[in-house]
Amino acid sequence: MQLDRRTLLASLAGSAAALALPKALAAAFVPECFAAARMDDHGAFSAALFDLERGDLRAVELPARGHDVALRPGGKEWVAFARRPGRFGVAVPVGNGEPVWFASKPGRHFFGHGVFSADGRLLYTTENDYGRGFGVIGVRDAGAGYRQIGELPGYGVGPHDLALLSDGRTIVIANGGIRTHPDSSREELNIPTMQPSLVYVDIETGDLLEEQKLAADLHQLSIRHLAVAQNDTVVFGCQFHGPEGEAPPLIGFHARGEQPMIVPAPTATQSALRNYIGSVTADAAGGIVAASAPKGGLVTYWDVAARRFLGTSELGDGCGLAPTHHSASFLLTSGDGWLATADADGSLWRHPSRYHWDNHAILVR
Amino acid sequence: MRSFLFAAVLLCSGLQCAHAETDHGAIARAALTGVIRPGYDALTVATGALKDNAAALCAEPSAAALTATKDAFAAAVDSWSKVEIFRFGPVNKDHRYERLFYWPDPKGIGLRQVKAALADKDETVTLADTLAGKSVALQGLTALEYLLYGDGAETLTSGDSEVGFRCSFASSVATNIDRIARAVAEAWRDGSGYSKDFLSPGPSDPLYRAPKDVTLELYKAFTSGIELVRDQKLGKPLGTSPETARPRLAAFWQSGLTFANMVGNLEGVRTLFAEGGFAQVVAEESPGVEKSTLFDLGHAIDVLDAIDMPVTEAVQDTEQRSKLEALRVALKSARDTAAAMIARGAGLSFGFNALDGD
Repeated sequence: MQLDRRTLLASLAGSAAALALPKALAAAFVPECFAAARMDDHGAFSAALFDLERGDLRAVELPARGHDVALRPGGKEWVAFARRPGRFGVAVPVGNGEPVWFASKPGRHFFGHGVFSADGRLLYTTENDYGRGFGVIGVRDAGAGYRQIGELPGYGVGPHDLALLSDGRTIVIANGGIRTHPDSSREELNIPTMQPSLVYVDIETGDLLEEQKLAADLHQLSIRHLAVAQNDTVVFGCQFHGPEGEAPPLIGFHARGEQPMIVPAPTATQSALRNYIGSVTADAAGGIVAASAPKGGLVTYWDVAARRFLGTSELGDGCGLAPTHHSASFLLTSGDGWLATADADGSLWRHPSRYHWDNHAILVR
Repeated sequence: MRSFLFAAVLLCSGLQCAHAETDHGAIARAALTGVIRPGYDALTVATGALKDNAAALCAEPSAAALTATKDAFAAAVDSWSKVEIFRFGPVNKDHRYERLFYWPDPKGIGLRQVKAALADKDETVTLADTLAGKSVALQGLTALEYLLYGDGAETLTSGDSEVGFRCSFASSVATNIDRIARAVAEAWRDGSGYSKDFLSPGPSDPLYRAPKDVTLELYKAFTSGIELVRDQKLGKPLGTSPETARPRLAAFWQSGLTFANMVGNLEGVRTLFAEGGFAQVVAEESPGVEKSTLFDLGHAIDVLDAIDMPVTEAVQDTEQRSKLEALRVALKSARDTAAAMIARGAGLSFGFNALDGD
């Protein structure tokens, strides 16, 4: 018997019905838990573990705005990061333990993203060495209070999102190519000469394994977010910093050793994306990727194997994306307060909430 | 007409005038007393009549009784459509919303469950008390629609035992719908917890902690109400061409109430805008825009009202398609313009992610 989210909802509504379920089935009805950063209507920032049935399971107040969240393999702990140019990170146990706070070292700030090693022992974060204007990858020991134990080169400017490939040894980094400095707030300092890249780095040696730059005429396409989908296909989402009025394609696919392939959406959709992708996530099976366009109020869906546009869902200021337990199904979060579950066919279920959800979300369990 | 702005705090310096402080409390009061309560009260009148008609049909099956029940169903859908845009308050509790209206259902799960209950003669669906513990998809308007209009519905006019089961099922759904509608209306009454929190939110309240939060909630109902019609109700069934049209994604396609449902949704949006305080916020912000918003909504309602074919045919009809496509564009511009004015006029801030730059 295949159960999808809708059947679950349909079956769950009556508690009497839920109680009457055989134990094995009842276990399958446990709703997904997600984690994300957010802001309430009074401007207070927090990060939370939540589900769509019960709401918050655990929330931690943040000193400033958060960005992405990383799940430690094993599923017992998640880490929320400060949005750039913030300097804090906090590791929050799924259970009752105390959160562990850590900070970037002097001369560095976080970009808001991080990823764990496959064994959950080390945490890798994208950071700005703003004195030199280069990106670095901070390495921290999760078992030792997230003490920083090293640093790898980021091989580019403005590293943002990153992910681990299935070999457990290679990380792929989206280097946005845009130089910023905390003293000039979030001002972008090198738009005319920016050169974004997608780089693959060996996390054991720090060696650069592969670097992909986009064609010269696309150098103002800042590669910002990515997801590793099936067969280690990296799907990346861009933000275009070139002339207004142009609407270049924003979604790219790359497999190691091949040329990146940038794929447009149909013309009307392409311009509706407003040159801005905010988040990219693969579904549970890795065959479909969702990419959000909060400025356009759209979430786009893509077939990874066929490298093809599938369709859209509409959600105003929708940005955060996470897979659910089911294929072709996603959690969508919005700065306007909606949490939604959507299928890649565009059907969308809204759940009201009281928060402005931040750019990213993850599936915890 | 009550003013939604404190004129006294208008401050002018040189040519620049600061915005008057919006009276968020007045917006909440107007929306609750002028839109939300009357909307749910009207729903209970319609669902009460639906319940009575369904019971009468089962007691004495006839073509006339079935027609009367269908008429009562259409009236209940009309009343529901006007409050469908509200996704907050008591309707958001205990899955009431989904139990009243299980939609969208692109995979047809609800239909499958209703058919299975009919085939299995599952007696628990024939009593409203036990039905309330069953799948949400069996409990509301979409389930009742199939029972009254779907395959085999014509048998409801005769009185054999086979039919008795279907009719009892329909009657228990109607009773369940009525109970849920009454529970929602009741929870919005004067003095209720929901009303208090809505009208005078405080820092320690669970839902709204400041009057502006309520304005934001109503703003969301306004904008997402238009989006609901434009994207979900119209966009999905229409597809991009007659070949990709999927009319069975439309709400109420079996009863032929698809366009009536959209008309009701937009009437709900229009009432919220006109009676709930937003029209005045917009008028203060940019005089004339409130009239053009009302005009655009009225025009959309007229166009949808004038469609005299079922949605299954309309999505294949070139003329209707182009009309509906144009309507979608018009709705988007009406939404965007009014939303921007309301947000600016009422001091709401948006674009948490869109303006983030990450």
